[in-house]
Amino acid sequence: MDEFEKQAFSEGLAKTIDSTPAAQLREALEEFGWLDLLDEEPAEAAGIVFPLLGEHLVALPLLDDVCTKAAGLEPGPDTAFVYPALSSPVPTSTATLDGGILKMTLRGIVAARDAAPETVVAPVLLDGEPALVAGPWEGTWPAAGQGIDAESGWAQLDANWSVPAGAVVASGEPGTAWTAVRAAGHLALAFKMNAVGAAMLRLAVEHTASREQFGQRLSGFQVVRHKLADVRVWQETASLAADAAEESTDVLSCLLAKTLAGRFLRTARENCQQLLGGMGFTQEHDFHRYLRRALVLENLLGSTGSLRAELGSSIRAARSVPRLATL
Amino acid sequence: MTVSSPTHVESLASLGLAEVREAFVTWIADNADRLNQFRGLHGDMDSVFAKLSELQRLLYDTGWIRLGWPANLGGLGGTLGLRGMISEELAAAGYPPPFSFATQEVLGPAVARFAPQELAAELIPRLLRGDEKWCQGFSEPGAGSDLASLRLRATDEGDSWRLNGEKIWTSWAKFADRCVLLARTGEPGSGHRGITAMVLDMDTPGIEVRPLPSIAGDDEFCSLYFDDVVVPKTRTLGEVNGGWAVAMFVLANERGAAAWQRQAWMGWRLGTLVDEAPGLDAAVAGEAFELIYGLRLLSRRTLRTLDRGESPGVLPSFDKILMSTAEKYLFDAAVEAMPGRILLGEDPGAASWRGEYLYSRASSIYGGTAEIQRNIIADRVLGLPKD
Ligand SMILES: Cc1cc2nc3c(=O)[nH]c(=O)nc-3n(C[C@H](O)[C@H](O)[C@H](O)COP(=O)(O)OP(=O)(O)OC[C@H]3O[C@@H](n4cnc5c(N)ncnc54)[C@H](O)[C@@H]3O)c2cc1C
Repeated sequence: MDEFEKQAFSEGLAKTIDSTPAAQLREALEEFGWLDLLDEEPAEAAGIVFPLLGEHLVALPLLDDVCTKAAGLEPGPDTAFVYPALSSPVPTSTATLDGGILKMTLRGIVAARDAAPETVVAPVLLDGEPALVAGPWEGTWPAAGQGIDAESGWAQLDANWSVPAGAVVASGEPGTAWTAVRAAGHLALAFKMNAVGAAMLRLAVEHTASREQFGQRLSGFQVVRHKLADVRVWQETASLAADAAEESTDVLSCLLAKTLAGRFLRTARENCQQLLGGMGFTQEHDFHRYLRRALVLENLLGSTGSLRAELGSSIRAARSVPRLATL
Repeated sequence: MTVSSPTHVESLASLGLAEVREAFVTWIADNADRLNQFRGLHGDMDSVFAKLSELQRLLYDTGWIRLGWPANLGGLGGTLGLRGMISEELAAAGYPPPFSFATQEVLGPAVARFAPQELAAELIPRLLRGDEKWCQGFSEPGAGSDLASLRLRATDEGDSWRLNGEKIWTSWAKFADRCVLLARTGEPGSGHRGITAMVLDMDTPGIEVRPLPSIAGDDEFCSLYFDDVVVPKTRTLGEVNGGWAVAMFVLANERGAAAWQRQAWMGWRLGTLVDEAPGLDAAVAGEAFELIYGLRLLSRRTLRTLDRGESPGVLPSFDKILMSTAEKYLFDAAVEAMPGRILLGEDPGAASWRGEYLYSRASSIYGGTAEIQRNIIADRVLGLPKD
């Protein structure tokens, strides 16, 4: 798709999101061509759709589709993905092989659903190595989101699951299937996070440009201007990183798109909330919704800090600094 | 195979960046014996500079450093990207940027664009060959961040300008043959509308250069005193009273294109840090890489914009903030990981770390301070109302 087509697609999608009740949104997005786009151009699909999910605070589990697709499986409304527990960059579910049966303890985060999924895809540690397992699901499933951002639908899962050993989605080297899935997830999350940060910045700019204290607009105070400029710096960097990862789709670029989005959100949470004054601590102003969303997203598929640690360890192990984003 | 003739390098340039890169990397590897003398330079500045000029000359004679410059200026043609690639591969292999490399990217493009054709054709090849060094005479004691308030006076004398006044912080002026200078040609108080840029020969009578020891202990800084210094008007860059455009172009290159070299060097330095400091925290190493990568993306964009002949506008302000953030983070990490060696060590490696740590502090000052970049972003990117 060229820029023009992307733009048109994105605008059409935004209208659909605005005009469709939450319960029918999944169906509407599928009619709009979400799964076809994901199938044909997964990185572009993330780049078009996930910013809208962030900006409009949509709570659909489309990340499940992205990860399922990256695992080489068929995504759809009845297939769910089990993410590692918050902040962990590696699977927190475990599996043992017992006479042709994979016995698993699933511990992690899932998107709540009205009805339990038919199929579950889960990264697990099998003999200490990450593996991906896909199989039928018969257990119960969280029906509502929990905690600080219940609206977004994220909930913890702690369940036992057994499937035949053949359910391991294997491809090549141990862990590579999981790595590819995680990278696709990082990219989609980065786009969504950047849109959440952009909304926080927009709200803080609107507020400081309109409210007056000491006889002048808040945005006239240099400290205020500099705090907003700092947020803007990390926004610029994070959006270039997401675009670069969409272009190259390599694992490290996707990881860096996520950590830079995390840096942007961290600065945006801190500075924008501060500049909103008391308003930033109400439920009357929309800021709190983005703050909640940011906190959870920052910790999905690895916190910023844990991903940096992984990156640093890989640099040490390789004894060389990777060369990305060539001229 | 060792490629070492300009005609061969020129023929590669038309093939594309990847091919030239491969050939250059091969050339570096094949010539490791010859190049080894340029690694880890230390000692007195005169000998370091002599070595760096030698490296530059070698790269000129073999053609590599002429890539990305037009033929009428002594170059071999091709895109700006080629220049970025050459500096990147040199850094990746652990070689220092030849002395005038930084000048080349900061002042070279401005002279190429704003000098009269014959002047550019005379000066640029000398810079590329490493025959001469240039300095940047912008700041004054009374005009730092507020550059537009500069006062060094250029009086119109028909065919020439007569200069009186002062400059300060002029890096490496003691070693320089030429200076790209900003002077007041309009009324006092005419701000950015009354400034003219010119190129000055440093051996012109009436210029006094006084070194000002920098925090790193070298002779980088100088104060310049001008007493009736006469500069022919043929040395004017751009329009009379149009010097601000030249200054902004220089700063865009300093904040953006030169930042590309800096990130290449920082990437290499991070590799050496990881190697030399087993105790370096993994998350810190990862974060340093993340910041350098951020700078890489931003400066790559600026380089591409300049390559298309377009103006990057205010965007290099982002690059400049990333550059200082990354550089300070990297050297803070180094000191935290190896405090004993870096702070008290007496080996040449320790002295390099120490000097680079101290110099990294200036990255949020030179080329426009971090606060000034934030002002620019608040004003011109965010468009925040002031009153
Ligand atoms: C290593 C190094 C090399 C240099 N090389 C050169 C060179 O080769 N040629 C050359 O011409 N110059 C050079 N400079 C000078 C450099 O450009 C100036 O130092 C810089 O522009 C700042 O000016 P100043 O030092 O007068 O500080 P000031 O402008 O006095 O600033 C002091 C502090 O006040 C802050 N401040 C100033 N104005 C504002 C404002 N409006 N809002 C918020 N904060 C503000 C600044 O950000 C800074 O933190 C070099 C400087 C260094 C450190």
